[in-house]
Amino acid sequence: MSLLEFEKTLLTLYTDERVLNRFLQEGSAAFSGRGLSDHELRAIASIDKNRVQAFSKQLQNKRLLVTRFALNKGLVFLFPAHRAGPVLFFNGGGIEQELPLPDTLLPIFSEIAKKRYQLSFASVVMAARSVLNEIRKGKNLEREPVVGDILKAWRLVRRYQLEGKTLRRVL
Amino acid sequence: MNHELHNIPYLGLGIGLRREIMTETLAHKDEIDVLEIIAEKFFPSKNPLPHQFEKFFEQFPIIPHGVDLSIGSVVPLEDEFRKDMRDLSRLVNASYYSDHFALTRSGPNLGIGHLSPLWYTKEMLEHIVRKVDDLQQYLGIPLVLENITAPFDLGEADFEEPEFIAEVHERTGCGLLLDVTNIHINAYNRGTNALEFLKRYPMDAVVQVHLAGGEVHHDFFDDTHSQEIEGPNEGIWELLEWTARNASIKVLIIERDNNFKEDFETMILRDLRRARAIVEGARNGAASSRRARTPERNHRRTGPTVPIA
Repeated sequence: MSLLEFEKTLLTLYTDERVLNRFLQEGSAAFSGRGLSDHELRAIASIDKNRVQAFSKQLQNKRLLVTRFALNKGLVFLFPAHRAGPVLFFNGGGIEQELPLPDTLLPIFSEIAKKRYQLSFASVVMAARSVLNEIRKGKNLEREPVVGDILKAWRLVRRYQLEGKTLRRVL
Repeated sequence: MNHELHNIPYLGLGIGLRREIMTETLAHKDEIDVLEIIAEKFFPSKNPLPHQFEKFFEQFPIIPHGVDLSIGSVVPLEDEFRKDMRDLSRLVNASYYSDHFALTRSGPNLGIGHLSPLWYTKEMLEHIVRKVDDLQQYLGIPLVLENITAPFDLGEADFEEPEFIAEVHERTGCGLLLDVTNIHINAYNRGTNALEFLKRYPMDAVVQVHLAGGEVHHDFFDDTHSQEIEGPNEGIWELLEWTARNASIKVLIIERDNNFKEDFETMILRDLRRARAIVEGARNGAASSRRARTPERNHRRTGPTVPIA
């Protein structure tokens, strides 16, 4: 009985760029080590590659919209825990942990959402720069964003955009 | 028709409740009989009912429509999720709870936030029959599941979608939320005849109908819920007419999720009126022919035609 593995494989194929690319290149051979039956492997092999690629892109665009919306709302929509205050989630050895989110990250997220940048590393840097300018104009923030903040912000944005697992919490 | 489905009352025609059109929805409540809500957004354990929605819950019948049941997943449904399904259904006094014939997630930690197609095998059929039976028993009301747009098919299957749905209905008594737009879109993308495809679905299972307008990009029809039902969507009306003549539609909902316009009349009401003429025309026709077949009962009736329950 590998139906469980079969459904996980499909969901990963739809959402994980690396898995999708392997499938596009190798077909169902990309999943040969997953304990799927021959029948299941043939079913996966039958999937139209152009269509699954378009579907995956559609899902990524949807996540991008959700991410942008969430960033604009200061993350409260991403995790219920944020309702009690900014919290940073990270995966340490497979365990979800919560840490206080640095004050400087929220205005960076807010800038990204406001200016409708693409959610790229460059956009995070530009947003951080914009926040820096605001601070120099006299806006009150506890401290300026530093490189570590920018990297953290980028990792979070990327994770929200790409990982279905994290976005599950939005729905 | 299954006894419990038969007992679902006729609720009429309505729309999906969305924040973007809340004001217009209230302003045109004389033309909107019923509202459909995205169930997960109102799950009692997660979200206390926002103040701005209270008046809608008071003034309209509400249909809870889920998007994340993931009936095709072999992972057991979380207790909290199904308790929320039941609590919400009770909160709005729902006659049934709807979701989709789809895979959206595998347990709580792996999900795609979207509907994806099922693999229509005998094994999947057995699994879904068990899951639907359990859920209907737990909820105490029928589960009504919707056919989805399939971006692609999973081959090596034992059934095609219409026959798979008919089997699930036959064995569980669950209802069908027939998304006529999805039939139109799937037929377009597969290059098949939509009406012939529609005729294969179990009409005695139909409880509710969805209508929406999609868009064609690069000769692929996307189910965007962003357009009026015209242009490339025009063929949907013929499908609705056939459905209305051959099924007992209890609810029809027009879905709009994107490309909101200021002109509510053009965006929603025009299509709602056209749909009403079709659905109520078919209901009145059915009532007339029933009266013609039962003259004694007809003589006793002195008031206007009553809705078919």
